[in-house]
Amino acid sequence: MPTARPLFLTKSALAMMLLGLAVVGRRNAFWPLVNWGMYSKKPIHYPAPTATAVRLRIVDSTGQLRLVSAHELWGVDRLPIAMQSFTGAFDAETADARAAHRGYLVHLLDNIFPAIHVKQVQGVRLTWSVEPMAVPPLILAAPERESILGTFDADAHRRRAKRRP
Amino acid sequence: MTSVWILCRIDGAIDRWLTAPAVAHAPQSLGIFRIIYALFYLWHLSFQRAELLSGLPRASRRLIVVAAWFPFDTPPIVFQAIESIVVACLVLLLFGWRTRVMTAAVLVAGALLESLFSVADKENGTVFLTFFIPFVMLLAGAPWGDAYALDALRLRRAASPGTAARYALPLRATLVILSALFCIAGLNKMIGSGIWLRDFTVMANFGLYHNVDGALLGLRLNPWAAWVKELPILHVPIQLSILLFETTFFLALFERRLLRLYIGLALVFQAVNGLLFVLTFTPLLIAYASFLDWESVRRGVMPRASLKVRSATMLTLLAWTIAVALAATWNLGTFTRSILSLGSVIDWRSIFWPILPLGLWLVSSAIWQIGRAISMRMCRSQITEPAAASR
Repeated sequence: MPTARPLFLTKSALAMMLLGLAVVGRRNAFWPLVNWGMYSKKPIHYPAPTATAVRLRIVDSTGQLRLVSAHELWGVDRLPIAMQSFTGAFDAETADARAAHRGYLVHLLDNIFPAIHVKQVQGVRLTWSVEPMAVPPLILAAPERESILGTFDADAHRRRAKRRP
Repeated sequence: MTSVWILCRIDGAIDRWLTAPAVAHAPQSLGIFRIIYALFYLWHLSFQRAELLSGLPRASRRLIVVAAWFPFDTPPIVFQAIESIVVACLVLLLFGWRTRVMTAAVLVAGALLESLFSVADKENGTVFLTFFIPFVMLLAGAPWGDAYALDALRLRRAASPGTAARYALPLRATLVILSALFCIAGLNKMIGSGIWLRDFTVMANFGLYHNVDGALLGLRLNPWAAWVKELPILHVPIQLSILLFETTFFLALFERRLLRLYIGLALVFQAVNGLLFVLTFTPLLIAYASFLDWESVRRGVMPRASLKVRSATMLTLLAWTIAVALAATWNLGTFTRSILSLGSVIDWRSIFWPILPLGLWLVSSAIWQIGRAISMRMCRSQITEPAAASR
């Protein structure tokens, strides 16, 4: 039978994969053996009356200001990657961790906006009031509150990255 | 002795099921699926930028065992090189050049690339595209290179009836994994934390919650979210239908018409998730695509088209030229990538506009076929019963 070897290989692999999915699938560490546990762990509550998001206010070498959202750097499907550094650059516990996130943000900004030389980056936390039952539930252009999280010099982080072995 | 006999019977039944035809016009449909797979993968990659992973802060990294050894502090060019290798291999796979080797290359390089992304952000919807499909194809000896491929042209390989079982293996294996993952997803919702059976406002809140997310991202919103929330009569049916769909997906293993029904339902499910919620499980579409009879589609769309290429060498040269050109320009600006996404016209969300009617058509045609089969069986039993009584 010409299919004997492929059949044996497929059957063995299927048995191992199904066993793997059952045993280690819940722990994402064993990718690609991962379960789809979406929205099964935490309850989804009625949205809160306010929503917050961190944005970057960048100043380029000509003094122009620009507001940057996390999805502009990594896209909607990989949003958490940028969001971690958006908050980590200002909220991380240690100075080293903050510096690592800041250096990474500068790397992202340089790649996404190659025509702009970013000089200064300011983290801003914007808060909107939310009407969950309305469409849209918030007016994006009109945040209710704005708090500055911190400011850093992009060039200092570029120099630091160059010094890194 | 009896247990050995039972085990042998079960093993034989599994063998027969795994090798039973899974799709009509198997070699040709699989060959077209290979082309669609490569194009879909290239389109998926056109939105990813692996170079941005260079220098990812340690605090942002998750433990992914297969990528634990990888130094994220390496320069961006290393990430770009991996991406370009995947792109070149996909182009050669698209043309069906050394299909088995290219399937292995796409599997290794593609899985490495995706595991690196997973270190930063887990996106479990990509497992079929980047791992399971090339893996099961490779195990079966890459039968998707037997038609519409340079290999078929070079070796004049014809699909003989004796090898038909080979074409079924990868599709059956894909279906088993898909069923297991859907079943686990449903069970997680029910018995993991039990939220979906205790709180029937999950989906209603989900719509509102994603509208807030969508508004923050400047996306088109779900106009029915508030309406669903205000109608409690809908909450239980919506939630139970999702649980029922996920936990009974395995029924697709047993019957061709049920497979059609569940693939249709899955397409509708993904399309609704993609169009109304901010859920990016788009790469999973390729797993459903593997079960479609692409050869019939081809005959319907291009009835007279045939692969009349006299020189395999010329086509090989063309394949290599495109592979090298795409790989070399992949990370030079956005031009090459924008060709594949038609300038971002086809993105993770807009792709669902044609998928939704396709899913609805598959569901309705499967229901029609199942209904007709049931009514014919009932008619047959009505005819045979009086005949048996008269005897």
